[in-house]
Amino acid sequence: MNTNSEGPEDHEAPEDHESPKDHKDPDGPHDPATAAPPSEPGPPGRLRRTARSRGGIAVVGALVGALLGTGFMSWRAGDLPFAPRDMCWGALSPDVAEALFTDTDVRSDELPLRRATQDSMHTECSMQGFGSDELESEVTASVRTLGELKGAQAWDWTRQYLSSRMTPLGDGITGMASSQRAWVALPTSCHERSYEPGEKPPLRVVTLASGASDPDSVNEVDARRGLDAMSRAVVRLANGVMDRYGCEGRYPDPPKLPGPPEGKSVKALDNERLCGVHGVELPGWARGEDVSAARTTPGTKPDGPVTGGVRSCDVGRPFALNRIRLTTVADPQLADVVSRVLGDRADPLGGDGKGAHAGGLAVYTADCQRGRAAFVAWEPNPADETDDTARDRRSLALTVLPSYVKTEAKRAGCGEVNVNVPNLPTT
Amino acid sequence: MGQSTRTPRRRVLLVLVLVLALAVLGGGATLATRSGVFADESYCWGAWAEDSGPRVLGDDFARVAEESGSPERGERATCVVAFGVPGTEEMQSPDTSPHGRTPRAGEGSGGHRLVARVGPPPRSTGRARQTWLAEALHGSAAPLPDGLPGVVGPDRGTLVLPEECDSGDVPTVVTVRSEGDVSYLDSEREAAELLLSLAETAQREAGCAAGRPARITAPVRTAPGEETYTGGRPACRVPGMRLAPRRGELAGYASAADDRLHSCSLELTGEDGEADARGQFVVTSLPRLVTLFAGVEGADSPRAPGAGWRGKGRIDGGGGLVTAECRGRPTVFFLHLDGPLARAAAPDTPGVFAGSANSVAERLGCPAVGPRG
Repeated sequence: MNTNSEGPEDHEAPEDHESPKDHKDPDGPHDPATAAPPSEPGPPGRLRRTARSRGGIAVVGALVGALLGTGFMSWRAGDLPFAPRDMCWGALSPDVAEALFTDTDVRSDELPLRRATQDSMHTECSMQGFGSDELESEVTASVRTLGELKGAQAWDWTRQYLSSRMTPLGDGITGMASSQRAWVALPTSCHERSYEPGEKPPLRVVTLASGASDPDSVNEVDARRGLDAMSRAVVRLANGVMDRYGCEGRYPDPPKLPGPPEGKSVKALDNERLCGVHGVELPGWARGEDVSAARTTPGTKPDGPVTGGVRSCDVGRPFALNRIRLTTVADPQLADVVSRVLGDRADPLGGDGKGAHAGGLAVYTADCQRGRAAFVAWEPNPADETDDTARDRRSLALTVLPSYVKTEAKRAGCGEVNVNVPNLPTT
Repeated sequence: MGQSTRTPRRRVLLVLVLVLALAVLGGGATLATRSGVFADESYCWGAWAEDSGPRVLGDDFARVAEESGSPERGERATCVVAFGVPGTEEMQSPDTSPHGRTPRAGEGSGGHRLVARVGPPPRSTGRARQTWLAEALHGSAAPLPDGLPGVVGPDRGTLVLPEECDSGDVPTVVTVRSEGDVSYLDSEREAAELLLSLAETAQREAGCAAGRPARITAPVRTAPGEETYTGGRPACRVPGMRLAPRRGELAGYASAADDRLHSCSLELTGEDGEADARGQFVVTSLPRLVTLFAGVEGADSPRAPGAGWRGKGRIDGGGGLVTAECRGRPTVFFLHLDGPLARAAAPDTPGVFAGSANSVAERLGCPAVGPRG
């Protein structure tokens, strides 16, 4: 019901682009009422007589004026039929949108962009790539209030959008991109209503999603092309949405990002320095074939400052990095979102900060120089509690969390943070 | 009947004359409003034009401005715009004195003022400079976007002009401050707009307006709000900054949005609600902001401030200044604590300085600056 009633955009007729005069067609969609010509059949002589009479001249003049007027207004509003149209709330020009697809025929459909305050969940715009009139691929743009997500929804977003595939956009933009996913935080100043000093407006983001968040394999050429297209499109999307919301300031196009995390960026694992983090050791019982490779957020150094606010590392087999993920979130607003992924029923963790764990996911937060920071250890395939072998009942996430937090907390400006984990099975 | 005898040609002529007369009148009126008696007023050496955007320059307020000095190179100039609702008592005797009148007892803070300052930081190495730095790099202001060397907050802004405007080694700085019980600037963006138009004017007046004037395109960051540091929470959220005042409440603003500028302003409030002591902690590696500390005691010291310290500088009972390399960038670490706050430092001021500097260095990914406590 909310679907915009505009027809599908048609990009097949570029020659129509700059010829508004062609659109005075009285049967055009824009003015069916006033534009209808006198249609009652009459003898030609009568028509000519009418046309010559004073009243006739007035009527014809009014008609021509109305047609010119509507044509001009349509042109001003960018509503001309057949002209290539900016997609997704007017944010993505055809070349930016088409770069997201390998197919040439891209159509879009969008839900209305509700005002920031009314939209507690999210709104979406779907762009579809057609090859010989068959739907081949889809990219979904959305605007959502991340600051209001909790539990499974917050975790679902965190899992997809803060993986080690994502490269920070840099240049003062809070956001990341991969060939599959991209997000940009809208500036805090970009709100419909004014917030009191000290009152924190919820974090809002624009996102782009295409296919699986973590595909099995992407060839390096496609990954590079995809990363370039996604990073440019997501910044333009943020600018377009800011424009519609009436917020000031626009982000520049992002620079060429460091290489996408395919192929070469997956490194052999150092058992003594998991993910390159000093002091984080992979326990003997967890070592083996299935834990032999790691990939870290591109453009970040494992033992340096947390540039871009997020550093993630996925560990596992070279083509299935799914044994464990370690993530540091040093951006306070994002850390707030991450801190809410576990509900009240999770088991609490003690220590200098706050945390909890449940089902292979452990989240710990601390108060740091920039505000709150969050640390995550996640096993995508946690031990099955019904399994009898002791090895499979151990939690790798809880085993490495204390040493990981200890080192990363210093990098995030939190100082000394110790985590107390429950006694773990030792055999 | 003369009229009926007029030919169509004469009628056309009449119309033409009328049209021409109207056009001349209209043009004249437009010219008059642009330049003559009806011209839009502008303030502070022409930097701020009436109705140019910010609410304080709009129709809702009456304004009176006074300039003292002119923004020539090396000179200090101040301009005060007193504003208020037309006809109110404040606007009967607007206060446009450079430092503001001291409000009479029980009268609140007087009127609302927009204060523009252009010039080098005070030459003094002591108190006057500390006070100036506390205002210019207040923790309630966040770094400007687009790499501009300055900060803006909801009631203030500071921008260091380019090197061409330096006099000797001393930079020229423009600051904007909204004074009064509440700020009438609508956002950090408005503060930034006022700041940049003032900077443009100052550069033109000082004859150093090389290149294009500074512009902001990216969104302006929102500055952090006030917070309290009680219950063992480290001051400024910097783990090494241990201040344990025996009485009063410690509050402040801590801004650490990026890795080029970290600033924090502290205030110790007594039971009577008056500020008993203030403090400031700044770490910056932005070259133009580093110049603001030139001449401060310790800035030109050829020696390490003490055993176990990296870099050069000077530390005493009330704070100090140390310059050390951090990830290849000369970085200034500055701390000032008023007496009551210095006495609250645990174990002492040099210890707090070392702990704080080391905490920030750790976040920035560079070796410890001071001895580890």
